[in-house]
Amino acid sequence: MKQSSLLTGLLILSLALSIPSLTRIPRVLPFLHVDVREAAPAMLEDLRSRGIWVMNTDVNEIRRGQNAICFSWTHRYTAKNRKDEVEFLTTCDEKI
Amino acid sequence: MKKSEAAFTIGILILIGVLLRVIDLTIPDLATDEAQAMFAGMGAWTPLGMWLLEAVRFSIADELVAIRSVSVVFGIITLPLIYLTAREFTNVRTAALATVIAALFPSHILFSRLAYLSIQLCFWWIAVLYCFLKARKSEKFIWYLLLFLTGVAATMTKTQGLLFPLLLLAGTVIEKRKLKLSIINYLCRAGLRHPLSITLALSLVPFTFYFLTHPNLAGTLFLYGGNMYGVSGPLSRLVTLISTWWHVIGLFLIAIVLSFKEIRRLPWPFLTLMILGTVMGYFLGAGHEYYTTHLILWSIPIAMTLIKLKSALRSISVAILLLFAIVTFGPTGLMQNKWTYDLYGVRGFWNSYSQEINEILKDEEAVTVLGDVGHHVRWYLEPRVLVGKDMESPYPTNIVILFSTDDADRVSGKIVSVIEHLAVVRQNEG
Repeated sequence: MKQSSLLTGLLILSLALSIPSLTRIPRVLPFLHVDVREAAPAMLEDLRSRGIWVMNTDVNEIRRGQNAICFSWTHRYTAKNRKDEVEFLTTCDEKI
Repeated sequence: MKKSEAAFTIGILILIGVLLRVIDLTIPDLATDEAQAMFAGMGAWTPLGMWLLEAVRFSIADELVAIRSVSVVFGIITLPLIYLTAREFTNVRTAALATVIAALFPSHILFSRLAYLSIQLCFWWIAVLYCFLKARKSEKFIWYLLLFLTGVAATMTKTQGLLFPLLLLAGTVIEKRKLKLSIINYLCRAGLRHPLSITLALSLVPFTFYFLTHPNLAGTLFLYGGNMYGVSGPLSRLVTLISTWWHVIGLFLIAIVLSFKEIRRLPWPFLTLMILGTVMGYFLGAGHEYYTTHLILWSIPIAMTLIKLKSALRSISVAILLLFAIVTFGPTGLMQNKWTYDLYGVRGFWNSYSQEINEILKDEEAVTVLGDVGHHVRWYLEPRVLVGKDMESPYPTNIVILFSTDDADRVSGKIVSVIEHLAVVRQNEG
């Protein structure tokens, strides 16, 4: 067995399997900012106060404005024999 | 006993273990963790196990029996894997006996019947181990490829699936360090000559990117981990862990203790997995019974202990373990008794009353639920369920369901129905 071709093949395979995650990098890059990370728990609290199953939400976009940080979410209610349409939700944290 | 008789007996015992995995699938209520695996999308864990359950729900049937059948399949295919793994460092007789013990192992029977992801992870971890042992022995490309693929499958089934491939990777590095290679030297040069560790490292790449680009996972770990993860209250954790083991595996726990002296004969990759499977409950949730799934790995040292006994004593020991498995997990309809495992002793609340509750809620599009609400309510209640824990009164639905009287003061309205601990309340208008 040629080691270099094996490892090259596995490297390509691992990157191919990572493609779905790699395409999400732009939407999670804002988490590099401290204020976004600090705002995240409040965003989750906001979702919970609406009765949402937080486990079924996904961050779609994060906007850092001058006065507020806003998260756009997708949420899909799922139950037995049921998968609802995707809902788009927004939560914002006002900067003081 | 003649060779053919022994093979027949082993075959029958394994068949009993297989049958114990396929019965009574619909008796226990769906648990919150099972429902979370079915409904949680991408928020809870890495996605492979959840995708499998979703594929079954939407392609076969959205019924308990179909969903739990995924675990049945994983439970059954783990048995030949135990045999093959044991064959890597024991003889045929010991490996066959290990397969018998594994087939009768109570915690593995239990979680082969339920839709927790631990049974899938258990299979993938043993598959990683087997491919690792094979790849270490041979130069064949196929074992490296399978090691890579099973590593990806393990890490993408549950977040904690990362632990075993990571420990194996560390083990290979330590092993080479014993050959007087510095880590830098190892990574730069020897890594290419010893591709096992590079294969393991590459199998972690998809997980790493998934984890980094799905902040929900980190959120789940940090927000929900709470006191569950870690080493706080070490003594009470230990007591809880051992009582959980005793509750699920009973006499097999004694067999485990008696097999301790065989530990030194186990190769380090197997020992690493066995120790990981044994101690992870201590660090990640001592009271969580699903971690006992991984105790099946002890089947091999138990078999190594039993094989040394005289034939009659070995037969009696296996008979006792068989009897325990049948008494606790035998078909409920035929042989319910005071030792029947508690999930199968009585019909669950939701399986008993969900129809009655849904009849009361038949005109409602959505309901708010207060109290300790698990994901399973979405399985049993037909209207859309809003989690009321962090909501404030008045709630946006006509009906509020109380799961505990502690929350009675959080809603004002008229009680429509009380079923055991659950109350259905119609909110006052305005």
